[in-house]
Amino acid sequence: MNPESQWSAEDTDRVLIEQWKAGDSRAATELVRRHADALARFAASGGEREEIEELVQDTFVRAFGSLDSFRGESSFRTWLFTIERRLMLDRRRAEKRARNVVSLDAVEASTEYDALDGMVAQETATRVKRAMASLSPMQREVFAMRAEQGLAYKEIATILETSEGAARVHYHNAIRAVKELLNE
Amino acid sequence: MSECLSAEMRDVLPDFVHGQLDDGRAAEVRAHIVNCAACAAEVELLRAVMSAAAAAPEMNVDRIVRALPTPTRHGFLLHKGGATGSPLTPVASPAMPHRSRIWSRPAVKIAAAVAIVAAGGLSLVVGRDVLRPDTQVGQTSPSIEVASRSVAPAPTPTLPVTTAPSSPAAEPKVREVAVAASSGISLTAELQDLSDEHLQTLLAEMDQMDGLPAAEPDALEPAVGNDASGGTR
Repeated sequence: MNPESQWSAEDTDRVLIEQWKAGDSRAATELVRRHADALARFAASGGEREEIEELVQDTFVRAFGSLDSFRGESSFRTWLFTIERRLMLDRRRAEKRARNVVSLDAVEASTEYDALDGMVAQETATRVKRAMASLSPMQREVFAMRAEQGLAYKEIATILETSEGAARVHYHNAIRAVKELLNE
Repeated sequence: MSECLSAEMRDVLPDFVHGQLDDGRAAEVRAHIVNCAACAAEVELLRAVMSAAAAAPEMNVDRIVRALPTPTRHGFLLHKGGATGSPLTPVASPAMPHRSRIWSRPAVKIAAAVAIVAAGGLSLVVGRDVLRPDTQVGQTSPSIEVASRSVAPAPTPTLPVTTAPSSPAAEPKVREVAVAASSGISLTAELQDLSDEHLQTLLAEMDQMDGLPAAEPDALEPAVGNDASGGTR
């Protein structure tokens, strides 16, 4: 990742946040414009299929409602991802309670990806999805963030509340497993 | 196919695929994958993963922004309904501090305390005045009118009957308070304007009235109204 452009993006976010706090509502529009699509992709790569815009909106509402707690220790986008991931977990817990689903383990994730297979046109993509579905939940999450979203290990570690080293290990184990599955 | 021995190079392949490397670093990776079949295969795999990623729907930025809290000088206002495109609706949030700030001012607190004490003292004075046997009809102070009107419940003509006084001396006063409670402040004000003769006539007429109301009375409300209208118990 280009450190200079990353710093610049974070700096722009910081300026926009300060402008919004000072009462400039246009700054909120710019912040949403900068990060909404990334949040939508993050949600989709995390397995969300329905009401993604509502999820993204809830993420922004939560974030703007607690901007005072944002210390800038991570990038604004990473912070948004963290909030969105928690909302996704909350949503899945609620769905689990509603459906009386036993667990949110790989079996459920596999079902999601299997159901998705019919919609994926390319055979390679289908195989990739199947391979990803066979990963452990943590591996799958790290792999999706790193390979699908291009997030840095530091961001992944922040979002998952783990260490960069652990995130790196999960990623490399995941891509090794995916390769093996695709070569079978 | 064996893995590339360069862990550093393998580490940056996702960044390369996502175009997040600067030009110099990207050129290094390109030069590397020309000679490294493992990394070239991994780059292809990562591109396949990217293309296989579930498509995300297009976001409606304006709709999202409409749902956001609105910054104010005192904090922010939360809004809801943005998802459906409905107008903004302020909801409970940390953003309505005006009221609490007003009540946190010492001067306002003192004024409120004085008002409470004054109201309590006034009600005591009113209660004593009403129960005083030698009080003349028509000399009801305005405070009684206020007390009777502000506390008395729904108007009802049954007050004089249901609270028949045991002391004849107190009867005129009780009646007046009851009338004030039942017919409002205007009647009491008019009583003050009447001469003693007219008042006597009025009282005589009231004594001849049928105490039982034509309509179904409410058994509880008169007692409450009587209590509150001047401490006649």
